[in-house]
Amino acid sequence: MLGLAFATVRGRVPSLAGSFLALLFTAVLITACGMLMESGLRAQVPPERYAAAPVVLAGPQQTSIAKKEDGPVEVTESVPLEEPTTIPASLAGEIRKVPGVRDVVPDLTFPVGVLDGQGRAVHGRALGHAWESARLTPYTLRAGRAPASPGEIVLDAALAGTARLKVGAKARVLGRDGVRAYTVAGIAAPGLARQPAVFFTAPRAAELFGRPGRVSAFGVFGSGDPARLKDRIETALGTSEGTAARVSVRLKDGAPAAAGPVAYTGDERGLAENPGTSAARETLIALSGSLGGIAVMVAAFVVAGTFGLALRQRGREIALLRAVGAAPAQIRSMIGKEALLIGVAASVAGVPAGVLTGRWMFGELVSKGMIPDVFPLAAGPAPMLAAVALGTATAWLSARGAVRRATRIRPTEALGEAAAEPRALGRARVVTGLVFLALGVSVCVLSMFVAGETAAMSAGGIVILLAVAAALLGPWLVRIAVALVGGALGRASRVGGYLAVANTRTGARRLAAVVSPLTLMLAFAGTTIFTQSTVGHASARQAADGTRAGYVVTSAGPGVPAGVARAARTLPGVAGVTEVIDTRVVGDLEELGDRALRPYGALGLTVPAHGLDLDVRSGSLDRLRGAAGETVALSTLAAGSFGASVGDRVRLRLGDGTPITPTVVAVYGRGLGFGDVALPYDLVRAHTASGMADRLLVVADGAAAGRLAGLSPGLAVLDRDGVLAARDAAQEVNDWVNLIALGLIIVFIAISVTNTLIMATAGRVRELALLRLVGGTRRQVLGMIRWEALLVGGVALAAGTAIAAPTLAAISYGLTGSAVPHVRPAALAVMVAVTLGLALAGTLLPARAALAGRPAERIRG
Amino acid sequence: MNAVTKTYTRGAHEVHALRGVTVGLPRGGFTAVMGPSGSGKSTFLHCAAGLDTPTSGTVHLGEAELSRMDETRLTELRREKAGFVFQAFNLIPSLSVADNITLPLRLAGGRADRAWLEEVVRRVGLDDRVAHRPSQLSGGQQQRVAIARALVTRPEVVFADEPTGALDTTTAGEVLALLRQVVDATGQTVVMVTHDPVAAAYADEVLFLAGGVIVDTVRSATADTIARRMSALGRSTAAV
Repeated sequence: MLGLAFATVRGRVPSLAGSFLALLFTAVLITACGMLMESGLRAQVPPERYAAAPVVLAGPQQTSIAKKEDGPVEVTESVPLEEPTTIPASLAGEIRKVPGVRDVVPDLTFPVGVLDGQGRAVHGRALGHAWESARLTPYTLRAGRAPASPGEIVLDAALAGTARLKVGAKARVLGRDGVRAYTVAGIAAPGLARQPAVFFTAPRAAELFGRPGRVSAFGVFGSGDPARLKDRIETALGTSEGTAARVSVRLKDGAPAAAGPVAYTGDERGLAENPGTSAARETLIALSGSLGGIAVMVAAFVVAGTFGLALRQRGREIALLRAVGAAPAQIRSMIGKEALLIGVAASVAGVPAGVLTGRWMFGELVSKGMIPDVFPLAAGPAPMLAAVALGTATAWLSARGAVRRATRIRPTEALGEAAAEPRALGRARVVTGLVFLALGVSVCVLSMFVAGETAAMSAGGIVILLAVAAALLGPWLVRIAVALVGGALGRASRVGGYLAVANTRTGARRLAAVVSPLTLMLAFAGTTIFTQSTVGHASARQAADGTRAGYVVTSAGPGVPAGVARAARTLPGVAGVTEVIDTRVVGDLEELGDRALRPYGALGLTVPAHGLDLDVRSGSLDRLRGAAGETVALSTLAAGSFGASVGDRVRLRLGDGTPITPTVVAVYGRGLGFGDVALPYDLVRAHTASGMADRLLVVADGAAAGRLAGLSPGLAVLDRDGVLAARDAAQEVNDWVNLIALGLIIVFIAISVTNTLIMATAGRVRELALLRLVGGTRRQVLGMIRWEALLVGGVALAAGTAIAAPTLAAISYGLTGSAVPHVRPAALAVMVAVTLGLALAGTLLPARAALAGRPAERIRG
Repeated sequence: MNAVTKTYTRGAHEVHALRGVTVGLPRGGFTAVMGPSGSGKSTFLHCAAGLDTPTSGTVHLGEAELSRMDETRLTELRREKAGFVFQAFNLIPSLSVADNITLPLRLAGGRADRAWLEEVVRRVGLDDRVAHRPSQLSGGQQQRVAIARALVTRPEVVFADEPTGALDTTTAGEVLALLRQVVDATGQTVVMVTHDPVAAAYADEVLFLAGGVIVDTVRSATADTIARRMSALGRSTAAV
């Protein structure tokens, strides 16, 4: 039967082109996503800073909880941490006792800014270290000598080159205690472009690091195999594993999963140097996982549709095969093998484009700053193999339905002519459709009543449930639409409209095959785009309403030192100053009866808060004090997720993973605009890398603005409008990821919709020829086709809106408290235009082709 | 039809489907066109009906001269003056019998004359089937619907292209008798292309086409006579 499958595939190129294209695009997406995922899973960053140390011990880059503690396996959930973590300095003694360890070198890493004479940043995010840790790279002096006094530094050769600083020159460095002038005592090579180093004396480095008794990492020197050394250290210290997985499962070995330091060796050491990699890995894995998943889902949807349609058009051919003696099993096997052939061919063809797409996406992610440029794109064969395997499996599985239908074709049907499609839908299809509809509607209603974020997260589920229901009950939708507008249309357009209505009424199932993917596209695009605009609009409004400061002071370096805020408060004309640090914390909460971690945008702020109105609903921000984690303020959204109100205690992990259980002192409304968790400034400052404010909010008159910039070198002062504009620009980067995913899926659906339409129209050559022969002009026939296309587009628009509207209302209500989503009219117009345009182009172009030539010849089939 | 030639260019070859055919088809007559495969009988029908334009020569349908008309004008002319019955796929599946019959009127922007519609339907014997869809009818019934549709515009000529090709002998006989009755009762002109001598025997006049020219004409012949002429024709063309 394989030979027959080959022959039929060859003879059916046009009608199978849709399945082929859909599968090809699936393979492109799976390959691209697979590359991103592999990069995330196997991220290898060649070590630079710690290249000389065989084993590196550093803090964990994620915080974890045990989700399931009973039973033989342990399930842990991990969330990457925002801030670099530290480990106790006292570990040095224990490490030294490990056999084979020759030396242990502590490293302190803290962000500093190197400024030029005018106060402009030469490098805003250089890394400060103690000169004693230079040997971890190793850095060796190329000129000058080691720093001997607190006023002396050694510069990385690359940095010294950019700053045009020579030995003996004066350099200004912005650190935790302000901008200080230093003498360049020496210049050390190599120059590390990605993490340029500034070396201080050990006591001065400790001051600037600001966390006594802690270190960033230990470099361990020892003899023998580094892997063995690492094992011995792990055994001695009870270290934890570094992982990028969100949820990991392991066999219980008695000891609970420790939050202790992580030992790295070989290329893993690169991860220890770059604390952002853990988050980037998770970004990549999550993004590629969801995008790939959607691609497979949509592919299955589309391929099942095109196969079904192709088969319906081949009903006679199959009946003929049955008539000349093909057994049902042989037909089944033929269709199945056709699917396999197409699957393999399309997947293989899609791989090269997938590699290019993967490279492009990775490049975009890096250039948009979504992931740091520290690790390379993986280029193993696994994604390509996965694309071929998954593509083929998708083709085969989605053809199952068509295969089942094919065997129901009776040999006698070969003789019938103009076979009308059966009117009734299968009972299983109706029941399944109604179940999906009921589920979708109830989830939607339910989500209106549950707390904010959970409601928002259920949106994707609602869309999928309702879209599947719409696909299954599609013929009903078409018939309902015809019943509603058919009469009017038939009267309005006596020929085109009348014929279109008749065709739509009897060909409901054929048209439903076109309506379903269009509906899916609209529902998906509408929900994604307008969720984004609703959230974006709400957060921009909250930010605009809540920002009361006339001026915002930011720094060209890693932060605004505490001295600047002190000085600003004493300036004449300044009514109040608030220091703000933006960070992320992790909530440790109960979600649907299960313990879960959820990251939140957070801010540390000094109280009383000036120039900032968080719209406090209960409690008071003035009680937000204490450096030991006694108090917290939550947005209404976060309070809902925690199930907490003022006076309750909640469990949080700070940016560096430190757990706290503060009492809620206030609940505020403007979480989208500013972050869902507000913490005392001193607490956040003690657990962030720079130990400085990200910005100062200043309430002052116009005269004070000029003086603010003069408080210290390297400061930038923005007025209120400038701040809001900068905020919007940052938001756009965030939207990009969602839009790229959406764009790919829309291309996908557009391909399949167009193809389905082309196939459906091309299958009607004889019908169109007959209309011409009995006296229809080309214009009349095209008019009929146009009305049909508009009916299809209209039904899809109505169904898509019916799915997207309640979903959006649920999301909007959950996130902003208002059930009315923010819909951009321009975006809506584009979506309507694209839908109708696709429907029209996909039918009119093939119809024109079908009308070419002599109708008397076309009618012979 | 006057000195009509039709030449197709198929790739590098020129195919002369008609080589100077001149013939007048009598109004109110039933003419059958016969000939072996490739003799040009379909091209003859297409040219006569304005479905195709001749390479040279002129075609008149009633008073209208077809060969210089553009496609839109031809369509309108067909709508008014010609009715068509084909071998298969005659009906729009989504329309009922009545709607299929009145389709040409609708396309012309007119409305069906109820009495005439009933008359036509009665004449083809489908009074009780007007609300059915084509898929619910037998092959013979479908052809009768097609004939009714061809008659509903009161055309000058009904063109039938192998109307009984897909039917069994008994049903074919019924359909042919119906065509014959249309000619006899209403003076309708019918031109039918066929290769079946039995079908051709229902006609008043049979034209034999071979190699793109009319080689023979017989009047009121029996199926046997026609079959003998046909096989003679087959031998002579084979001998050429």
